[in-house]
Amino acid sequence: MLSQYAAELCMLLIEDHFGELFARIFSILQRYERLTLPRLKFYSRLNDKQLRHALAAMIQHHLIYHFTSLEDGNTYYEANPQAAYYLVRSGKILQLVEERLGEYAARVMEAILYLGHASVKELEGRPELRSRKPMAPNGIKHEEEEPQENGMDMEDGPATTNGDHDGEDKPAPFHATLKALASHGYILRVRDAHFQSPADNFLEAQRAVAARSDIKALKGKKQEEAIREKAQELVQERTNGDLTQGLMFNGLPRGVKRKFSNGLANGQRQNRQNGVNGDHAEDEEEEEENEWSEDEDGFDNIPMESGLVVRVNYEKLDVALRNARFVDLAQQDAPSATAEVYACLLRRVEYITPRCRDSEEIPREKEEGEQFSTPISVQTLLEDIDPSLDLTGALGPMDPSQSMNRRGKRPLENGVDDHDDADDDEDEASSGAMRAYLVNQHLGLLSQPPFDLASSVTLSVGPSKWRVGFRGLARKLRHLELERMIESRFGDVALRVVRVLQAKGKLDEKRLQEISLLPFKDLRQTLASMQRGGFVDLQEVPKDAQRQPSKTIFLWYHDADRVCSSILEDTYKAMSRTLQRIKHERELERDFLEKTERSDVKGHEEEYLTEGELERLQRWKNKEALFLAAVARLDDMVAVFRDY
Amino acid sequence: MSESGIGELASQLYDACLESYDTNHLFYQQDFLSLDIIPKNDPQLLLKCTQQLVDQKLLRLHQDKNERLAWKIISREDADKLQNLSADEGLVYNVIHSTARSGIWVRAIQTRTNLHKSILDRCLKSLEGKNYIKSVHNVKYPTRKMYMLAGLAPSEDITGGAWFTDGVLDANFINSVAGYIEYTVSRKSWFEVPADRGRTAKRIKTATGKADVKSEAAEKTYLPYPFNYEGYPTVQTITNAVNESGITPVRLGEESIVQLLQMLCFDKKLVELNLKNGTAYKSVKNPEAVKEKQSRKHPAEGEDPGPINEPGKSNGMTDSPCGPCPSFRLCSPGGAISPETCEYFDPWMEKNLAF
Amino acid sequence: MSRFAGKKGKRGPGAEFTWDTDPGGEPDTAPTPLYPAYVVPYARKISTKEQIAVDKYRQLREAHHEGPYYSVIDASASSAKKGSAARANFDPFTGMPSYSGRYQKKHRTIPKISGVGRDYETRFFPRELWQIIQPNFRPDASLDGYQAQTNAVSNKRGFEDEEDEEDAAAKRRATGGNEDEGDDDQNEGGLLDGDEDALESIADDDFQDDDDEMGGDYDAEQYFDDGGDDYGDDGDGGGGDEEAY
Repeated sequence: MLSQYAAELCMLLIEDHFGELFARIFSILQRYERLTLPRLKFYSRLNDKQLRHALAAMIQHHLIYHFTSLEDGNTYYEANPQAAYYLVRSGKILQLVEERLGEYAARVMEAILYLGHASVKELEGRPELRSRKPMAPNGIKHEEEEPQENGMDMEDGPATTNGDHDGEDKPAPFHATLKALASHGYILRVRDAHFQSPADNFLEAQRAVAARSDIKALKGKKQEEAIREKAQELVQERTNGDLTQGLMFNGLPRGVKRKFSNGLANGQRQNRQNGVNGDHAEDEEEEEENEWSEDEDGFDNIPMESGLVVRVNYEKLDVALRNARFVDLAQQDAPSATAEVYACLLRRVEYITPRCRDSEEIPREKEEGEQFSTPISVQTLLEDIDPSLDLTGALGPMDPSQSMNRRGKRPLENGVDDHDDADDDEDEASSGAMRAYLVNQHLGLLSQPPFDLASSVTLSVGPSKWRVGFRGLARKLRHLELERMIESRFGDVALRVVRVLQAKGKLDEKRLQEISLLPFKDLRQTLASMQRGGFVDLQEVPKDAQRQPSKTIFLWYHDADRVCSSILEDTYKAMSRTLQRIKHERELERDFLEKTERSDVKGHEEEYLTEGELERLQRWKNKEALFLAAVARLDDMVAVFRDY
Repeated sequence: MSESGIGELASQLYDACLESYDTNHLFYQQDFLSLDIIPKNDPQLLLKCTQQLVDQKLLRLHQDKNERLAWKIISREDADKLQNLSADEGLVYNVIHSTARSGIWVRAIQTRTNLHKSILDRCLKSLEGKNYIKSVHNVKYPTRKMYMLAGLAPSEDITGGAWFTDGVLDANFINSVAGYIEYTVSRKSWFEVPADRGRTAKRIKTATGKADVKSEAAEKTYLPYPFNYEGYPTVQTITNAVNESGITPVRLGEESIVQLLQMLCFDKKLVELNLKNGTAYKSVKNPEAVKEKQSRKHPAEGEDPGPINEPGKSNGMTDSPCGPCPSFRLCSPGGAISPETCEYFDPWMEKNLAF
Repeated sequence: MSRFAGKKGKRGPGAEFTWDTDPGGEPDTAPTPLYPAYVVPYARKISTKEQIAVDKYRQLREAHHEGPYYSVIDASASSAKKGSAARANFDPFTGMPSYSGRYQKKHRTIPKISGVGRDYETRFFPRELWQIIQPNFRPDASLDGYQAQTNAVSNKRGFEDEEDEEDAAAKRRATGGNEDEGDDDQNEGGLLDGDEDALESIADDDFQDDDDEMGGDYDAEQYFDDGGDDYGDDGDGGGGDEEAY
């Protein structure tokens, strides 16, 4: 059962996307957990026609689960809060797909989100996916990023017939793109079990397992355990919609451009765009263009099975979004080249990481073990790292007394001395061994504090490999979110105190002062206000039975688990309030906004609206963007506290 | 043997002791006899001599762990002092003396001397008046009245270390030393790219009117060292640097510096590295960034702190008006405090749409 | 009203309460302010990435709004504040602003499922909804033996239809009751739809308790509207999305 604020939020999101009808049904289902159609009709006060149509559409969008009992023949409906919540993340997901796989891939993804789930055949027939260019102009900035569009002036609109695209004049790379999405794991095959709640799936699997003769032969505890274990396996098998198998090529998903920019993180993309090397970028784009159409074996263009039904794989997308957060951490205090090398490592890690964690809940801090990614070798990374990336200029020399040393780490500073050496160095630097050495250097930097973002695995044979410890980093993200709140509310003094408590456990005021070196007055004030805010707690340890305050030891502590879960609730609430406020703001502007939405006005705003109105519309859009961005940032926190 | 003979012998014994032993030495019977002063090593005679010396306050009687009798010598100077004291005062003085730099709580003196409170108070007052003892402040037990000999410096247990002045944490001193340490460590944690590259960039900067405080310093570029770099400063080098810098009136010990280093690590300004040659420290920010941050002053209480531009310093809750909202707990749609009637959203919107 | 009276404001929840938020107010008798002054935070500037994400979110939401599934509960008055007088007295036929009436965006009250160019994957839906996604589907015709519980389900359907009517009657009854504060509800229901009178006495006992349990969280007029929908006038609000069955 969802908490009050999470439930409220899901309802608001559904209302925002699908209107009041779905929202009413959803909130009734959330309140009563599971209902048959007649009961739902009764509680919701909606008529049969409304309900049946709405339920069908909601199932299409996975907003509700259904389960038909074999015993009483009734079909029960249940809210699917996960699907409802992820509506809020759709913008981020589309942005990520666009960044990774281009504008067209984002459009395919949007179509899938819009349809809930869809067969390959249906997607292929969608008019908005036939053209490489977006139907409606949506922002100039995207286009520059999108190589496919460059140099081709295809008209909009469904000029071509659907179906076979071979022989046609530069059709949209639909199948190749769908394969890229599938092999990245961003979409998955829809299975029957996806329409039943996890609890129903598990119970059903348990029943199926219990009926097996080999399980029946077992007794007592052993049987129980075997049932649980086998049922979990069965659920796994039934819900597994993985599409990456068979689509990977040399460990790389389809649609990844080796050597060049698409294999790199946004950091570099942005650098590129902001940078001065305009012509350079263009060259690349052309090259990419070629790669799309001339993939070596033509495999990419072989259509996927047309009856295959796909939907968005939120679990996998969370892995990609979490990795982006890790890259952000690297970018904060490390050179950008280092962050890029790290992004390449994380990309490889992403391909082989199906979900953020295996356990349903985030384990308690002290009880949580580490979970490492599969190690990736430096050789593999070298294939992905842009060869033009300057790995040498970002690190200082081993010996600071010289501005450069023999290992050639400073070819840029070579104007001063050792001129001849430098040239050699540059040659050396471009060689494979040198680059491998440098990649190790960059990742080595990140393996140290303050980063601790990667760790190396040294094997007895062969070169070292690099891996990422997910749980430790997820914990780091959680602590960082708390620290940001603490610093902004209570100041940097409070931050120090909390970190001391985090590291040392429970402490009395005196000990706390000795370590934090803060004057008593400040310390007490800070502790008191943090206690009011729920960030630290006080434990009383009486020395005698009378529990006299004078004979009681007071210990301060910081329980991160408890604080995280209460902040999560606050975050849901803040998201709800922000959405409610924007609904209210929209209400105030209703007459005006309805005018802009009129069928004659929409799309022809310039024509129909006065200058003042256009300005007002823009102001409204900026305002809404501010609110939605605030919600999106709150969602980032939810991801950290709940999903990563 | 006559009284005067004993007196002379005792005096000889005392001088021999001073000469042959450390002032802190605990003398047993054997030690005295080995000095070959007492004729025939007569224990009776020795006892008489020591008794006389004790009376003259030149020896102090001790009992070791095994309850054997032992003595310690007292300097003539101290002996003079002690001679002027009354019996009770002497008793109190000895007890205070015995605790040396740790000092002693008045209550403990009382139990050990068994003197009446008023007598004890009088003794302490008189001793303090003669400047033989002083009262000290204990950071651990700020309410306890404690004494120690006037000539001793209180131990760190009592003062709380170098960071306390009269039992109160000296925040200004701490901050100035900590700031110095961070900057010093930072300079050794980052490689400064030789200046010729940065100069042009700097000129542009000043031309646009962004005049910096340190105008003579060119815009500097800093690079991190390779990860197996070993040149980061250790506790020892940092301690030396602090003591040579002239920012501290007293010499700071390594243990005091370690305290500060740990504090700086909790502030995430420094990190601890375990290198082959021991623990070393590395700064998170480069010297330029450290300097800039240190020169930035904190906004006064209640003042608008201005937009946060530092990456990684804010999140959804710090950015949204709901996060720090004082009425957040009570807020619900349709209530007295509700998202619809909220008075914080409008100013928040204005503020954030303005730039 | 100046919320930023400057120095009085304090960052964070420990904010001091100030009385000068209301310049014309009487400080001595002023109640605790609902919104004590505090300095609202600055938000980080929206990055390009965030802006793209926000735009994509709006684009998808827009698509959903334009799509066949977006439905309001009552198109004519749904956007007026719930419970407001404007809404209660709203006349869907004349209340519409006329100057742009024909261009005005209309919201459907029932999602349009079939006839939108989609082939639904029947197997993913419960049998009781098959007729919705496939209008040609005959519940009694035996299909490919897809599921064994066909019988149970079709039995169930018979029962539902019955309950549907009961339900509608109960709604009308409850509606009348609420509007007249429990006075003479029988008659009120009769006024609305005399044909259902007979059923009503059956329904009454069944649903009375549940009504209480529901508390006040449903809106009487709305059910009034819903009751009406059953009798064929839903097409008006839905903008001509007549279903094909």
